[in-house]
Amino acid sequence: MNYFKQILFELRERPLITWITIAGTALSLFLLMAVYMNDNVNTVSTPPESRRADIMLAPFVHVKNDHGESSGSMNRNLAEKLYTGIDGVSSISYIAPWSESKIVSLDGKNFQTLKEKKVDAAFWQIYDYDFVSGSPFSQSEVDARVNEVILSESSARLLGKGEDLTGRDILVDNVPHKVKGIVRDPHPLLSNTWSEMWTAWTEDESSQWSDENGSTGVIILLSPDADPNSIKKEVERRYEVFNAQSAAENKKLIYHGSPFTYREQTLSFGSNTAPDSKSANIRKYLFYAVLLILPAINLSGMTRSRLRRRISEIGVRRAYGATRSRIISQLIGENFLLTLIGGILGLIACVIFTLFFSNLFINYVDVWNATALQAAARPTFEMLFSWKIFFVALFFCFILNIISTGIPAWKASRVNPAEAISGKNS
Amino acid sequence: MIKLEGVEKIYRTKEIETLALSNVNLHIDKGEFVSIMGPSGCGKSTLLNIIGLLDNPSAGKIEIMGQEVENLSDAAQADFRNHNISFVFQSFHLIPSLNVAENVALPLIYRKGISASDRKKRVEEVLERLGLSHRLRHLPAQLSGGQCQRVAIARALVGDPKIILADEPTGNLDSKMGTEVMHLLHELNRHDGRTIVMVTHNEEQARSTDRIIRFFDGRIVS
Repeated sequence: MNYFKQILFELRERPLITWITIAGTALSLFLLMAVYMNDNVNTVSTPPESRRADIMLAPFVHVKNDHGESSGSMNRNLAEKLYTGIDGVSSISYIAPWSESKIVSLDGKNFQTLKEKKVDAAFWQIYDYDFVSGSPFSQSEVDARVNEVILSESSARLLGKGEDLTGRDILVDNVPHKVKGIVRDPHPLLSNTWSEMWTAWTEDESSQWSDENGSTGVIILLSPDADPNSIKKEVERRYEVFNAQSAAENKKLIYHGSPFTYREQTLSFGSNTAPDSKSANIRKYLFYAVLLILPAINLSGMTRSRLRRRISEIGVRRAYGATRSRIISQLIGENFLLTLIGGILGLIACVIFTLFFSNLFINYVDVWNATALQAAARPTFEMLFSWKIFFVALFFCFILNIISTGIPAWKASRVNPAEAISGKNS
Repeated sequence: MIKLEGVEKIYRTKEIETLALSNVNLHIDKGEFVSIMGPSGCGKSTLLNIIGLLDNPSAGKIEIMGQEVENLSDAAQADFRNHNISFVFQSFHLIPSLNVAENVALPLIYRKGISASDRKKRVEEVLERLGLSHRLRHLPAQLSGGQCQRVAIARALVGDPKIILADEPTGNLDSKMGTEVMHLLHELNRHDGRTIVMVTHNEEQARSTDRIIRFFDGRIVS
């Protein structure tokens, strides 16, 4: 309670320095949270990618042979050899990792260009799409190569102009497809799930470029308690088995740590390199440290200045029985409140900035492959803010407070009480 | 009650050493009201600080209430002060952000085992005794100098200390308020039996106490 009073007193008596302290903290937290939140957008679980933490992705394979090297999506046979039947996998989906543009129309009228994702039945179990009507296609339908399509709500609206298209036939590149279901639009920044339409898919020989390469990507849903590292170990073992069997052909698969977690996937720059999580983490933590330490040095100076004015109070508190540790905890407690006010202001500013202005500075999706819609998309409030984010901000506030107040408070507590009371040590 | 033997205090900087107290031997009995007088800079306040464990001597022995205190740890000194010694300062030294009741409660906040309700009760009792019950929620800035010093005395009393150390307690007050504060101190001495050591420049006030100790250049001269 007295912490609040002290802050109110400081705001009343020393408004400039107190507001500068709050503004400095707010700016620091704003920068820290902007980095953290924008990093988090790519890994936070949000429908239909609600299980991102349990999902691993294997979009590529890297092959070396007498003709040179090739890297890119796998062919289905190799994908199954490497990823099917691994312990700890609850569900596995084989998809075409690339979206294609298709000319779509209802009854040969109203032609629209829509992005198409080719997926199997398991895809709909891994990702929790919200079906407005109809249902996902089953594996038997996929295997039978039935021409079925699932539309996003906005695509259905665009094509049907208000008509319910479920069960109707539409033309996809002039081939009739039955609309099996309609789903609510995924957010355009969810690049693994966003599309305007989805068709059932099995890779055929025409899309197999070589014995290894083709047009298959793999999505794995882990069983509860499964360890991603043990999945990786098993896949690496299968790479080794494949390489041993292919040694005579002088063919080798280069293992780059797949399947990847979402976090690793965001760090992946290409199909022939491994995402370097370690370096990325070091860079990230160094960046956080700089963003914490630099403002903390400034705030520390201001805290010292504020404490100099209170030195006789500290002396009186000591005279009446406050121990050094009590003085330190009192000063850190008071300053934490001040840091918290700044932190909350910084967090609010960061959410507002990220919701409305971040596109000016940040690309959330791969701009080379993104549609205009995706490139212009901004994260939603739900993607940006969570209690986890709040507690991370609180943690940053706490660290900032310890760095900026710890030393001045410790020094203030060491002051000889007699000198402090007389103001000699101010 | 208070015993000092061969106490010295030297202030050292890189350039000079200043002898603030030199071979001070002093005995103050329980319930005594003692004045310390001397010119500015002669070491009166230093002596008070050393008796109050606010400063450590460079040499010598200090015994308070039968306990040798000069070698106590910082935390033990803080605890000893909290239970046995109180201070009244010339400039009151009330905490400006706290109201009267919170300022008075300060010694009890640092004492273990006192509930908030007990603390409140004791604060109200002592403020009632000093005629300040109507000022409970006022900030120090809203009080007169005399009221501030009465609040400071209330703060000094609330922890029921055996010893009160007063450093020029009337120095910042007009004569009327000064007389009022001296009356209060005498009452605390006579009625409650508290030992009081007071630094003063006021000869008349000093003469009203049980004994005058005169200081010059860090030594007791009479």
